[in-house]
Amino acid sequence: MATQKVGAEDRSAISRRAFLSVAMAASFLAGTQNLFAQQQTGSETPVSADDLHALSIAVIGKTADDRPLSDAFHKAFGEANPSFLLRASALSAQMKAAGLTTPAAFSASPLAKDPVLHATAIGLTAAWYLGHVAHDDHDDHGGGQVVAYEKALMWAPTADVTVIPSYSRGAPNYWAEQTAQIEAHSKAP
Amino acid sequence: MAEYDADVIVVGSGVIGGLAAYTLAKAGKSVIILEAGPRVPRWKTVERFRNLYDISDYNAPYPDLDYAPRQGSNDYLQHTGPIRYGAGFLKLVGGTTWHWGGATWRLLPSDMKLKSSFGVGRDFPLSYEDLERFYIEAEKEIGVNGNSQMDESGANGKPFPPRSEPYPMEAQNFNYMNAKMKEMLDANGYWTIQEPNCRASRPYAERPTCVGNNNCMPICPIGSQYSGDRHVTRAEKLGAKLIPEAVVYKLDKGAGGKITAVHYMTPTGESHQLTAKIFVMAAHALETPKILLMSEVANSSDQVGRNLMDHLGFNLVMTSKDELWPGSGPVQQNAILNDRDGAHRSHFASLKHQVGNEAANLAATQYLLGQGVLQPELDDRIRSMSARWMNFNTNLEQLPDPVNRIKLSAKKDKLGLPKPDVYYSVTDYETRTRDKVINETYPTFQKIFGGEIIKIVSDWQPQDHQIGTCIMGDNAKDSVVDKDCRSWDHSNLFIMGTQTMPASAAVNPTLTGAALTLRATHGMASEV
Repeated sequence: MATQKVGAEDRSAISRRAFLSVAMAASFLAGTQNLFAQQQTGSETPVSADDLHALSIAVIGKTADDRPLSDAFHKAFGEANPSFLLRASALSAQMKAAGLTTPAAFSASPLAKDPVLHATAIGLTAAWYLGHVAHDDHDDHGGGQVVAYEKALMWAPTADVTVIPSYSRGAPNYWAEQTAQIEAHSKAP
Repeated sequence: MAEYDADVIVVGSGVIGGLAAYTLAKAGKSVIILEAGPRVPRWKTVERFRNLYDISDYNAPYPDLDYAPRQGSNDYLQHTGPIRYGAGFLKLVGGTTWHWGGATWRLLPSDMKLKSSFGVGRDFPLSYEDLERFYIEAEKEIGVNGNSQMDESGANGKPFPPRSEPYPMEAQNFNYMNAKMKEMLDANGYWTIQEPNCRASRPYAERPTCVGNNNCMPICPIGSQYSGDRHVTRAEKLGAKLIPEAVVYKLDKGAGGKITAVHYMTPTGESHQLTAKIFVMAAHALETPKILLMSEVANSSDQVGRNLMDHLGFNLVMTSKDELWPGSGPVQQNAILNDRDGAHRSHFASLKHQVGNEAANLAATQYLLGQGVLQPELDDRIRSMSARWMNFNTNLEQLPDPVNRIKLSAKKDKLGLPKPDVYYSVTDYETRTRDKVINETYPTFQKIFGGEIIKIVSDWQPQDHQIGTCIMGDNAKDSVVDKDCRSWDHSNLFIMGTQTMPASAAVNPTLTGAALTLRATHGMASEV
């Protein structure tokens, strides 16, 4: 039986429902890829799994202190986007040299103003928050490797009010009973 | 040996084919259902969704097969018109209602008499009153919840359109966003309606009560929301035979203009033939005309494939000043219908506005990363933006235009069958309506909710609501089927679904397709 998949998706005919999200993704990943394309990788040695774990914590914070997940990202980068591990190695070395171990320290440092190092930090953060690693030579349209769904860090900031799509808070009508909770938490932007 | 393989052969196993097969099987008829795609259990689709690279691609969890390509399949649809037509369809048992927002609107009486009421478009060959009891039946079969007291014309008047029975299930409650939106919009004269939909607000027909998984599209993980496979299964329990992975490519004509047989191919190209007394085409608005054109049947009017309509969509994406919190509960609950009906329709298209209730985490995170936002700021910004994200989506009625059509491409698919060639365009009627919304209505919405505009998407985005291509009428010279969905050319060929609708209105067409199908099927059952 012939059940092989047809080739790449026709992204120009993508559902209207996906359009906005894809457009948003393209804007940051295309920019990052363009920047990388113009720059040297900065290191000849890929970042080790140990150093990627430490770098993730330093750039993202304690929410990235998940060694099995960090190792999964390391593997996915190695397969889908190996040059990113070289850039991550450079960022890791410079942050170590500067003694930067927290997101606040990195953001306040001159390193965060370096376009390539900043883009590397964005790329690492994107992986943890979106739960996937984009292919080396593509923007987000080109696909990549999935690492996490429930553990993607983008869900946690709203977890007290919303669900991770496809999961439930366990009872019908929960959504109609959140007024007090929301209004108690509501604050100005 | 039986003279026929079945009383009725139904081509297509989506909501329309499923309803037709079930109704006929219930009436004691022998039925065979042919479906191009495979049968896929719900849990597999849920697992595929959770392992997607791009979770915003609602087609990606579903099979895309070289013998049964779906929406987004590479190079399947051929585009020759000025607008690229991203038609939405899945090919598997149950069809495209595996991923939908579940909106189940009735048309208004005026929607069905567009030409005689407003001088544009075409009239249905039957009236709202003719269809009302079949709307009731369709709402019961599909399992619809709604607010029977709403004026669905958007005029904030008495309950409308007329109903002979209330919705079978009470409306689901609004979440915080929808309740706050209603307060703010009502104060400004924009009336927020509870959208009727096919999620179970109580246990209904083997479906559990919705628990707000916020994933109606692309897959309801618990089966609370209706999908077309429900009626296929029910038909099978009544004795209907389902043949999946059966790609129909030809109908045979015989004496007296009757259709005598249907031919299908297996995924490996092996051809089979089946005979029946009656044939029902329910393969949606792209594949049905393709099969008819390949078979050179039902087209004495030259209208097969023509009058392709969809709801033309565009978006206002903004943040609200205050936290509204989309993402809690079902993915869509509201509709703003002030411009749905009225004398303006002679010059401006009917409209439905809606604010999506999908969790905004992905879009907000992508946006903020694009702005270069990192931790420690990122988490707070994701929360703030997700709580304020507003995606206004506007659906616009498109008029029937014979130039918009499905033809047979010279390009062939894996089985050697022609690919569909789509010519799609819009007229000044649609364009001037869009411009009015973007220049007048969207700024008003932005003012009501404060905040900042992120993006106005003004490119035409067909909303995956294919309509037309085999329209009904009261004249064999300019329509494909009559009011009973019967081919003018072949007395035992019925074409069912939204492709028979001669007007698109501004609301989701599935319930009307279902009501037309039930009306036709009851009539047909007495002939077999």
